[in-house]
Amino acid sequence: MTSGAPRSLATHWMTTVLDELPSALMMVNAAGDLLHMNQKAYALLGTEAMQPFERLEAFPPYLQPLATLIATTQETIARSQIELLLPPSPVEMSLVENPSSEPSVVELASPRPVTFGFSLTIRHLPEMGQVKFFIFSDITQVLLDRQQAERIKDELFQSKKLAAMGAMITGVAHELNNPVIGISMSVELAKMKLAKTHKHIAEQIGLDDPFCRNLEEMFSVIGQEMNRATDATRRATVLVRDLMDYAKPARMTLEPVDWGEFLQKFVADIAQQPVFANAQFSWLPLECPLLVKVDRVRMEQVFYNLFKNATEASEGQPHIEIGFQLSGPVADKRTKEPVYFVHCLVRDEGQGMPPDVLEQIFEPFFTTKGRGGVGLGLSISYKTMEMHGGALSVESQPGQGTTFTVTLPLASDSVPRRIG
Amino acid sequence: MSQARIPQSIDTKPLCEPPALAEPVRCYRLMIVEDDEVIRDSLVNYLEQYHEAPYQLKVDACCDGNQAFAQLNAGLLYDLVISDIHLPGPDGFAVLDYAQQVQPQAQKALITAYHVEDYIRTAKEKGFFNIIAKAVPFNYQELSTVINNLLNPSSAFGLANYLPEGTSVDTFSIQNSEDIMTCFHTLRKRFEQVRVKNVDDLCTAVIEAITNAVYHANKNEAGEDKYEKGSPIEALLPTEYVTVQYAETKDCIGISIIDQGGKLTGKDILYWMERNVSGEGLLDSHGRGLFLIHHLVDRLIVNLKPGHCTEIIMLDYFGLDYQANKPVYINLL
Repeated sequence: MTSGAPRSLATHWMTTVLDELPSALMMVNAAGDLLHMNQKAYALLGTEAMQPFERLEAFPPYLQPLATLIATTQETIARSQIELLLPPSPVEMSLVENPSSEPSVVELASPRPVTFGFSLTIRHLPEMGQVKFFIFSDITQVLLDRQQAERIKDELFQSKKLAAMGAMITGVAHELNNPVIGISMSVELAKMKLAKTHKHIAEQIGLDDPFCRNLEEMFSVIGQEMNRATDATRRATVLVRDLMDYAKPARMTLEPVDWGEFLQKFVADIAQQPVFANAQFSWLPLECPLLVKVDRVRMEQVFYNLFKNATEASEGQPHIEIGFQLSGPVADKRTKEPVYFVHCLVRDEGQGMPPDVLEQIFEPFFTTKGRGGVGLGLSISYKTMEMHGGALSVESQPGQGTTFTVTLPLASDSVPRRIG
Repeated sequence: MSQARIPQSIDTKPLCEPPALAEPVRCYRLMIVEDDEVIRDSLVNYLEQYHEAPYQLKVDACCDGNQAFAQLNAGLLYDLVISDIHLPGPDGFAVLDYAQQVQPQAQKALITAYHVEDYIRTAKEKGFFNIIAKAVPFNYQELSTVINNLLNPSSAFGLANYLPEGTSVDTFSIQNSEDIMTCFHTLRKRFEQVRVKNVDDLCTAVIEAITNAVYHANKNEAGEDKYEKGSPIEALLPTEYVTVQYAETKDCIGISIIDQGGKLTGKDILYWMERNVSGEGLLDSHGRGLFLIHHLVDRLIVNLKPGHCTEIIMLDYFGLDYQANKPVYINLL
């Protein structure tokens, strides 16, 4: 039986019914002849001009994975997925061929990756033998939406977790602050008392006295211990201050800066510092000036942290690569205005990080440096980027190096004419 | 601890007069409001036993705002009230406000373990010009100096008052624009020789302070800057000379810049500090100098004698101590 057979009224009815189905349908017999395809199937496969297919082998090359799947399957498959690379849709083609006079964004005419969800049912029908019913629909967007929902959920969880930790840190820092100052005040006062007593004894008894010499020795030991205590209070204070700064609602001074120029200058400055004496920075510049609004000092802190981490992750000469990407537009959550983003990628060729480290990397006090760090650097940087309406993200694999992406919204008066 | 001043020439007095008695030692009464017991005890302990001054100090301590209110009404006259800002009950601002009403003669200062900068705006509105920071390691010597200055503002003037006795002080007189650079380069060389951690920062602070003193302190009749900033000046009038002092000790170096304009007020200074902290005035060069200096040096002390002189004192502790949480010290005569 082929599609060339005369159509009865019943066949016509059935064709109409099948065309009305919400899903796409293809019927194929054991020999690989396409018995029927409904309208939806044609629409999804983008092959209106090529109908009808006599045989599966006659499918165009980009549909061959589908043809092979149907031809080789001998048992019913319920609920599965197949990915295909379809040619650009005619609408997009026309955009590229006739770009309008001022396009803000041009979508490139590239093959479209799509995912079909399908079921393949095999039945034996009288007179027709084995028939395969391939029922499918385009779930590309559904999958994307689901991924995005997952990502938003993750981000929300991450940011809630950080907020909770921030609140806890504020409490701890404030509770610690006074005792540390109390200890420091007692220690410094004790030093003063010690010095006074020492002077008094030296004057009254004289240092030649053997008893006095013993005392002298004791004073010197106590004095040393006191100085160690002073050093410890100094360190404790630095930590407490860091914590209070972490939790403090920071005041930011946003200034418009040319992003590429700002970073290039910062990298040039920082390369002079002893910490980076060994490092090699390579720079893939931005092609046009892009305005962003940043707090210079905080932004420098973010990049200083990233560069320092990159240096520490590398064995031998650290090589740090800096590049840029653009994305957008995305509708602003509040104003609904289109927002474009610039992503600055900081890549190192260091040892990379396993997934369990990546998961926690932005949490306060998370550190892999042992006693080398408190573990606040990246956490503060993450917060800084959030406060700028941007983001900080990371990609890494053990042995493959690490890429941090610093994302900032472009200042609204600096939207590039073309991103592509 | 305290010394009575003995008149030096008793014998020149006429014999018929009774011999002059030794001047009685002045006694000052100080109230400290602090809720943390260890800190409160340390402060009282230090001030009663180690605060060296030519006067006696009687210290009363209160542990919260309500106790402070009661103590202010207890019938004792205070010369100085120092209050912590965070307190159970009424806070330090409320305590000082109340002290202002019931004991207007008392000098007032705030003390805090938190970021001093967060309180500058309120301090300006209420007219409190001294915010002491509980620094770590705690600097008792500095506390003594602040208390001396509050009790006797004239002792706040002059770099020597901030350094151990006997420290030698170099003095430069700036009489034309060329002197500015000569003085600056001399100082820069000294900074490089001693252990100043960030020479560039300190130099920026010094040049800001000197140019402010030369160009902003001297006004014409219309009240505008008499000399355009950065313009060459052949000769300043003797009443426009700027004095720069420099001294070094084993712990720190000090620089003092004195103009004879005396145009600044305490509120001006807090206004510029606050405005720049909150980022509103970063692009405004006026007053940015003070903000910069406050940030670049470890200690900034501003002494004001309206109509007579303004003195900016900077201390640098070689990057070791007292960097975080900088206090505000403005002394008014």
